This record gives sequence, C-alpha cells and structure tokens, in this order.
Amino acid sequence: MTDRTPPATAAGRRLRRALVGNGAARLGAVLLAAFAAVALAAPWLAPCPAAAARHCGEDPYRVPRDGFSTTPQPPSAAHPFGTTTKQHDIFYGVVWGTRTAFKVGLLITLPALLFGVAVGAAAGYAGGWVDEVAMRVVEVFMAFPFFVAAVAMASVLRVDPVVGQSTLPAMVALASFGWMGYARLIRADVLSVREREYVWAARAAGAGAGRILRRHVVPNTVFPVLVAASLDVGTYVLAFAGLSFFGLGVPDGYADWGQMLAGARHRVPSLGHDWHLVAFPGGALVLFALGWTLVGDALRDALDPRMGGGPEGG
Amino acid sequence: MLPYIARRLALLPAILFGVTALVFALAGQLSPGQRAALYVSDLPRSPDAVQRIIDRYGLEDPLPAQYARWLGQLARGNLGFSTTGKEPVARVIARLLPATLELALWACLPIVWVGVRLGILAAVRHGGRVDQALRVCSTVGTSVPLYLVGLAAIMLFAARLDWLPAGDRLSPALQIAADGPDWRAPTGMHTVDALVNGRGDVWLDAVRHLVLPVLSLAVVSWAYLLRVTRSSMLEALGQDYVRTALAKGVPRHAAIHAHAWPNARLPVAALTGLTLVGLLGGVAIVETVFNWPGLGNRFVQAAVSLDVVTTLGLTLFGAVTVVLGNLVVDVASAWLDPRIRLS
Repeated sequence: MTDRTPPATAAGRRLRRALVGNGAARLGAVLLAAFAAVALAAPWLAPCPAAAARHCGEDPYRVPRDGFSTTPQPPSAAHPFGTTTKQHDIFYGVVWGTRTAFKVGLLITLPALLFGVAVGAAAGYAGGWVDEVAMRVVEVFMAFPFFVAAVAMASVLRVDPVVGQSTLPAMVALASFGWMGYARLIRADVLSVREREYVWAARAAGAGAGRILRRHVVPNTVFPVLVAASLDVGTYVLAFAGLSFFGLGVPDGYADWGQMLAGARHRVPSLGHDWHLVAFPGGALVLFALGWTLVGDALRDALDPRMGGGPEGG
Repeated sequence: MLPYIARRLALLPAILFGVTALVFALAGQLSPGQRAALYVSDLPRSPDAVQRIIDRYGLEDPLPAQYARWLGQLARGNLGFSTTGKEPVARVIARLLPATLELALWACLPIVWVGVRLGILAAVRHGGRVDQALRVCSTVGTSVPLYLVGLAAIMLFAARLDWLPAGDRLSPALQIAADGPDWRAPTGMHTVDALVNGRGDVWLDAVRHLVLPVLSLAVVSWAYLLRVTRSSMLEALGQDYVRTALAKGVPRHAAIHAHAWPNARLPVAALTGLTLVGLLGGVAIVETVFNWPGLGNRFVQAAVSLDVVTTLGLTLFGAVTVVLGNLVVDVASAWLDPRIRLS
C-alpha cells in the first residue's frame, strides 16, 4: 500500500493528533490559553486604583505604588499578592506582566526568526563562499554564551539615555543572539530543496533568485523553523525576565515578572517570611514557560524527533 | 587524528577574528563622545574634556585603524581599565577566576554523574513509572529559569530552614583567615587551599557555601542532560544488535552496559562537553544570585553599572573560553568516534 497523502496534510494531521490526544500537551494549551485570557482581561482584572492614577493612569504598565516603606507587605485584601520592597502591587504587576510576557516574547522571536530565515535561506541557496561566510558568522555568534552576550549588549545599548530607559535594549540584545539556530535549521533544508525539480523549473522559466527564494524555496522549508521559533517564545520570555531580574530589562516599576522578582534578591535574610515576593511572580514565570514547553514537546514529537535549534536557555 | 586536529585548528583564527570583531562592533554601538565619557569621572562633563579624550585616543579615526589598535593592545594582554573595579580588566580576571573555576569545577561532577545516570535509568525503564516521573521532572525543570531556582533554594534552605548559607564563599570569620598574610593560596580555590593549609574548618565552610549554588546549576543541567541521554539510550536499545544480544541470552544489565551504552555515549559525551562549556552563562547567573565573588558576578555588576569596558572585556574572555572549550570537545569527540574525524 502506498501513502499518497501530501506531506503537508500528514504533518497537519499529526499535529492535531499530538495536541488533542496528549494530556500533557492539552495542559500546556490550557495554561497558555489562561495566560492569554489574563492578558486580554488585564484592565478588568487589575484596574488602576484611583489613588494611584499618577502611576498607572497614563501608562497602565507602570505598577501602582502604595507608600514608600521598604518593608514588603504580605498578601491582604488590598494587595492580593502583597507588595514588593518598593510597595509595588504584585497582583497588578503579575496581571499586566502577562501582557509584557506575550509582547516581549513575540517582539523578540519575530525579528530573530525573520533574520535567521533570511540569512539561512540566502546562504543555503547561494552556496559557495556566501554560505561559507554566513556559517562562520553563525559560529561566531554562537561562541558567545547566550545570557552573557545578551547582558553585554543590553548594557551597551542602555548607555544611551533615551533608549536605555525603555524595554528595547533587552529585546534587541536577545533577538541579536537568538537567530542563529533558525538560520542553521532552514539552511539545511534549503540545501536539499534547491535541487528539486520545481526549483529548476522556476529557474528555467527565468525567475530570479529572489523570486525563487520567496515563492518556492522558503515556503517549502519554513515550517520546521516556524515551529522551532514558536517553541522558543517561552525561553525568550524567561531570558527577558532574567535580564529584568538583574536590572537590565525594564525600567523601575514596570509591570514585568522578572522586575517583580528582583526585589527579593535584596531581602534574602527575611525571604523565609516574605515568600510572596518569590512565589507569585516566579509561579507565573514557571507556568508560562511550562505551557510553552508542553505544547512545544508535543509539536516536536509530532513533526520530527530530531529537530533542534533555537537558543540555549540561560 | 592529526589531520582532523589540524583542520580544526585552521578554523580557529577565523573564529577568533570574528569574536573580536563582534565585541568591537558592540563597543561601536556607542558614539565617540559616549565612549570618551566612560573615562571622564568629573561631572559635569565638559565638552572640552570629552573632545580632548576623543582626540588623544583617536576615537574618531577610521574603524579599521581603531580595531587594529585595539587588537594590538589585546595581544599585549591589555583589556582596558575597569572603572567600577578601579583596576585593569586583566587583573580582575586573574583575581576572580579562581572563585569562578571552583564553582564550575564542583558543579561538573554532579551534573555529569547524576544527569547521565538518570537518563540511562529513564531509558531502561522506558514507559515505566520511574521514566514517567523523571520526564515530568525534566519538563518542569526546563521551564524553571536558573535565577528562580537559585532564589527558591535560598528562600527554602537558607532563609526558612537555615541549613546552609545564602551567599558568599566563606563565613566572615573564616574569610578573614583566608585573606590573612599566613594563608597559602596556591590555587585561590578555598576547597583546595584549605587542605594545603590544613584547615578542616575552612574546607567544611567552603563546601557548605558551595552546596546551594552547585545544586542550582546541577538541577537545571540535569533536566537537559537527562533528556539527551534518555533519547540517545532509547535509540541504542532499539537497535538490532541489542535485540540479538538479548535473544541469545545475554543478561539484561550486560546488554545495557556492554552493548547499548557504548554506542549511546558518543552523542552524550559530545553534548556533555557542550553543556559544561555552556555552563558559563549559568555560572554568571548563579554567582550573581548567590553573591559569589567571581567573574560572572562582577560581569553582571559591571553591566548593570554600565561599565562598558569591564562588561565587554569579560564578554570577550568568556567567548574565547567557549571557543577553546568547543575545540577541546570537538577533538575529544573525534578521538572517541572515528566517524567524526573521517567525515
């Protein structure tokens, strides 16, 4: 018996089966859906209190502050998750931080993906010295430990007084050192696809290299890279929160899980008592990353057990 | 074997050139004025002073000229002057490297020993309850960032239970002894130097300070190494030669250890090497969380204080370490696996 199903449909079917039929993947999907719901409902879940309008009234990502004491408050009716060492409301920060997580996840992954695909596809299609140089450049970027490179680049970009006060340095830094896996992944596939008949046919019909790449080569090789990139969103969110945790991600008081956690570092002796400083933002981070990992594992198993790529966790 | 090493060494200059060029490009993100301002300590920074520095150090020269000059300084071991540390970056490295090495070396043993063993265990018990439990642990483990593991460890074992210290390399009283004039420090690693000096109390204290950072590093690496070992071992266990061995009556543990493992360990060895090389980033995180006075901690502090010279100097040092580490891993894998060196 011969299997005449086109590969794309077969992959789609395996995908659906992997996501629906697997309990772990279902849990992952539920987690991500819950986070998406929280992100969408943030203005209703955590509205800006009237007393703190000067914080979050203009920019909802600025977490409201309750006083100037340096002693964090435990969870209470007014602050369901307690407050940080700077009296930022942790519940507000965790809820709005969900939006930050999705935002930075996408805004890091997309540029890294686009750049990686462009470099990898061009290198694989052109071959020869272009390929050789591009792959050496990939190796050079990979020589830098992901976290170290991101810290260094974020720090350099933060020297600029205007850009330095935004979330841009950390995002640019993470994307700049996150594209290499995608370039390698797509290049390997392009190497085989470029010798297919339909590519030769397009070439014979007089299509230029750019058109062939865009219309024929990339559409047929991009799928595994897309999957790999979508799985990395969780990793990037963790890495970004890590930069915030060390004070290189977001400005002070910005709704970000890593930033909410950061205060705990300076309260080590009393952490046994101030558990809420770690538990709520940390829990949000872990559940979010777990959602991506579970969904990602299922996708990976369904598509290709040997698929790798993407950044290494930091 | 020699041709392979020669081929691999021939690539080294190109990679090192690229690594230095990339660090140079990072510094190039700053305008000459911004770079000059890094070295002007008196505020307000007068434009004259900044311009004098730009002229004196040729910060507006063509980039290739600046790059060549910088390489020349690097070749002489000059990585620049650390404004936060008030000493040359090269001396920062020399002074803090032992602390970092001590942490990294201690972390290697449990990571490899336990991680690989757990992976084999999971593969041998494939589908069983142990395998399921390990899979759940490793999935959760890959989703917990290292800084959170460290923080949680501090919260539980240091702050709550008060079993272990939360940071630093030694307790204050013993640190004074280790900084004293009579202390012989041939390695700079307290766990070794304590033995040289015959101080059991210092050794024990140093080990107690190592437990939480090392465990944090290990937990995160286990999750990854377990997965790799498990899948590599599963593939080997499914091979015909293992089935043949079992069919002809070879005992199960012999089939696992003498037939499957020797073939599964090649990719595991290579990935273990890469994991250890990749430990560098993790060490930086753990050092910062545990206030471990090593290179990684200094690196993050310098980055937060926008001390670009120290940050980039240590970045370059880290990248060169990784390049050389990868080289060692590659040569070792080629030595273990003839398929690599002959391809």
